[in-house]
Amino acid sequence: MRLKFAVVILLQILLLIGIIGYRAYWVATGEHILLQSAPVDPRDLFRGDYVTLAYDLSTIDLDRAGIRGDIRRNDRIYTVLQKAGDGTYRMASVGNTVPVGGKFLQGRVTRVNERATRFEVTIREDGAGDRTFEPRWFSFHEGERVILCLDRGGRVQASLREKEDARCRSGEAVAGTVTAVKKISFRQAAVEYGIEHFFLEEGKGKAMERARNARDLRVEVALREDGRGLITGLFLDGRRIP
Amino acid sequence: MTQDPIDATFQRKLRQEMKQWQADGLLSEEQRERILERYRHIDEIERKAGSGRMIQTISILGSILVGVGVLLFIAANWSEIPRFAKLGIIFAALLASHGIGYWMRYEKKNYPRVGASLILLGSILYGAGIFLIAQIYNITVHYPNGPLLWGLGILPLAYLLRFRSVLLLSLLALSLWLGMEASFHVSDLFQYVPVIVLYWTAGMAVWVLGLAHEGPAPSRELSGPYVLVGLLMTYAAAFLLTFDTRQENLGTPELMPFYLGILVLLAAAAAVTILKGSRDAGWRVELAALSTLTVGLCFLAMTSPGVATGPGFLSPRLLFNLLFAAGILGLICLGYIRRRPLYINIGLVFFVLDVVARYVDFFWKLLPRSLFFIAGGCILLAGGIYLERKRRAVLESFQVREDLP
Repeated sequence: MRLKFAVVILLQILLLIGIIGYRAYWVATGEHILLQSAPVDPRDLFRGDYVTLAYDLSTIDLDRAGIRGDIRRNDRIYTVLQKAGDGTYRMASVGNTVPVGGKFLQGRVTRVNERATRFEVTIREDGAGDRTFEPRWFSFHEGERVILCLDRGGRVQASLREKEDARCRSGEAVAGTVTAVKKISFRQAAVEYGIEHFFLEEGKGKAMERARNARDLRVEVALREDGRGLITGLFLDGRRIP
Repeated sequence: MTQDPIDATFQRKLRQEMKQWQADGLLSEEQRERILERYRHIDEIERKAGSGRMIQTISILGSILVGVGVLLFIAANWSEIPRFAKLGIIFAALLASHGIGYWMRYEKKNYPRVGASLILLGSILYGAGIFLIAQIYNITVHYPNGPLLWGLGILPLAYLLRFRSVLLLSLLALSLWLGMEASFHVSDLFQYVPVIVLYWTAGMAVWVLGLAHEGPAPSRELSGPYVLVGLLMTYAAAFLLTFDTRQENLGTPELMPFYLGILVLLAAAAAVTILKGSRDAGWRVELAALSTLTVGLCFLAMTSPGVATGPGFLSPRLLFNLLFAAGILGLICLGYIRRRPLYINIGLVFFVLDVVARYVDFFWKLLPRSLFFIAGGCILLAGGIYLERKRRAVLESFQVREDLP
């Protein structure tokens, strides 16, 4: 009896050590890459503080990616990655079959929006040529004067009617006349890669949230050959978070 | 927990047996009285010093509190505790509670009940360990694996020590896993009826697994948690389908591995029940009804015909309501035939829930609000008194009949 009890408890210990070993093997054999990220949400009572990390690759335009056919929740998605100038990896292409060669992340569709919309807006800048932007939402018409507020990545954060006191709170501002507005409807998929949660000590979630707006949060991921990733570290302003 | 030598089940069996011994001339009336007196004496001690059950309850509550405390301690001091210390705390707490529990219960034998609770605490800490390790190393790859590892990791312990509490914990973890894992397979998040049907069929299979354990002595002690979890899953799921779900399908091909697994589990459990199960009155009816219903529902779920839940005569919703009412009636009858207070109690709870739900369905629009609540309250109060008296009478009759010479 005593021996059997010891064996059963040993089994529990081995299972726990197995989880640690599994992770260690993954980290040791996987390739380490950096992804640019933005945390979203605050806390979970059971697990203490943690941040939910969103990536550019978390929402996918299925039409633009050229993925035809029926895409549903829980379908697999493969996102091929390419190294950008700043050392982080960005989405190069997306597909629903395993890519041949190259680095890629394997994800799972969590939600499909068949009728998502985006806008394609062309602005004639004062003293410059036309520039095209893709804001999430745009309520102005052709011929109107507007100011677009851009974030570091060149994405439109807000669009304002040009007035004397209208100015962007941060980032680059583009002022000009709207020359074309196109509303495009497309199929969008939300994708989860298993690298969306990072656990923190109590109270650190808020600091992460502020970092999201500044967009200087990078995630180090140990990438396996089958495209599964595991977070090994978080870098805020280039410094590793313990 | 292991069977208490002086608990009610044992006493009931003893009285039954003694009647037979007396009839066979092995036991005189006087000896019978003396044996009964002995147990009355123990009853009295328990009344004065607190029952074994009470000690058990208190120490189980203590275990849960300590478990939660350890979790909170680690969570609150997340940054101050280095990674290896966190792991050290987890492993040390796990080993200590299992070790001390075992020592108290089986080696020293001085605090068997507290020892048992400490082993339950160890099983809780093992689960906590899984989640904390996942947290320390940011492992969020496939999170249903957490409850799965928890449930499977403590199952051998439940069988080795015949602990009902550990088995119950394991079954709860595994039912949690079932729902989480199923949600990874269902493509339409708003189509929840297949998941409800999955729980319903799984519940019945677990219930039959409980029947399979009712045979010879060592496994009999473990049938309780299976039956309890199976009953609750079955009736809770069936109850949800008595409402207007406005959905088309009972199942989805995406859950096919689950249906097959449930059918295999059912077949194995039914086979063991037939070969080794209890031979109390009514076991055939119970097994046949459960098997038919599980196989039938699995078949419907696999072929998943349209279930338009609109109005109309013999709509699926009406059928589910009739089935549920018949199920409650059947459960209470079974409880009476097989002398299972648990069946009667759970049957009555769901009977009351059903009455309330149907009352709201039918009269919410017809009656003025105030009258609705007053009338409903009166019906419930009167019904509650009636049911309570009936329930007591039925449960007492189990005892009385055994006391007849």
